[in-house]
Amino acid sequence: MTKRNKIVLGSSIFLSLCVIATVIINLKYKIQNSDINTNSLILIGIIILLSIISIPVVYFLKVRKSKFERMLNNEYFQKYEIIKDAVMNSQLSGINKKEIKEDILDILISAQKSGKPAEDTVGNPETFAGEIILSYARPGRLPVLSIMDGIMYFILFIMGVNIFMWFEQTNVSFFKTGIDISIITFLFIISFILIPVTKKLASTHNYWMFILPVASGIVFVLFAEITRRFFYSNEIIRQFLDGTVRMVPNIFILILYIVLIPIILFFKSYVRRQLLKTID
Amino acid sequence: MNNDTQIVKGILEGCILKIVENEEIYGYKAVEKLNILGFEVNEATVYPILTRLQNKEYLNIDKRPSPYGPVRKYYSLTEAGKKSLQEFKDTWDRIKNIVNKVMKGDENDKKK
Repeated sequence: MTKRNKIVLGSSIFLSLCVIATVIINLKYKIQNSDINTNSLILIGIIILLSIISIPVVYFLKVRKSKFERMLNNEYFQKYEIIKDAVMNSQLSGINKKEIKEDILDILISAQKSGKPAEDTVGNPETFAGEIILSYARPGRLPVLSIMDGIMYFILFIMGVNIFMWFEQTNVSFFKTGIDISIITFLFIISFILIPVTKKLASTHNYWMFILPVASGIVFVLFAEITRRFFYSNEIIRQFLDGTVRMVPNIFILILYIVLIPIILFFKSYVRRQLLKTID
Repeated sequence: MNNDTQIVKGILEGCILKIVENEEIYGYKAVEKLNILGFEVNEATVYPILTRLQNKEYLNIDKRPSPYGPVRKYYSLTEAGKKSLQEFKDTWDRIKNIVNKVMKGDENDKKK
């Protein structure tokens, strides 16, 4: 197993343990305050189960080598991994990514069979990956796709958290379920800053990509707790920490969210087609 | 040869179109052909050019399994590719003549 794969698997186990520990601490408080019901227990069970399942999922999707990847020797595989990570974290379409992966595998396996050293074949793998991405689009146009992704992630997170909050207290109507302003802010930061930055780090094989998500979560919790401890008397801080907003206030907004997802996907595919026309 | 310069990339594009016009070819074979001709290029230089030509719709793609297993792309020239190749040939002839004249003039100046 390469260093990168060890870190990927280690991070997934660490994150999974963090989630399980948080859920158990939360359960302990709920039991202490006699605030536990069947729904909460089901929810906690589901979260723990998903956290455990996420480890083999990460292994099969991100770590395990495919049949053809196993044909590459260690020298070639390390180069291939860097190219693959850069391409997979780019804004290219799923079809393009799959096609590039197949091409690169064929080229590298052919070069390896001919006895050529990996260094002579690939040169600098990051530059190689960058050239491949450039052959599909001008980089200046790609931020549009990142913004589209951000909107999509934000909608999905909001829907997910709303369902989660509602499930915890089903006596309250789904449309009357509020989400904390601080949580909405954090989801916004995750969607529009954290995910694009992490993808950028992953594409350059920077190991901060594994630390940044966890570190951001810890910083956010610390920030919330410190402001609660020292600035809670301030109305704005109080509203930020404990004020709630109904992000899905009625059926029309719910339909709008649901309809927006395919519209964004269609728009992204349209932008990608336009990008192909800008190649020099 | 510094293959990163735009001029060399442009020339390589034209040469790749010509190679593909002569025979249906796959990525690694194109690199071998160019090296036999003396270009000293590697896969990292040639593959992005092939994808760029493919995205410009100058190349047709036919996917078949390679002897080693993975899917292999075989490239052939489209009508747009043939037109682009002709444009490259015309431009190349013109530039080559101009550059030759300039270089000969330079040599004549030295002789004087």
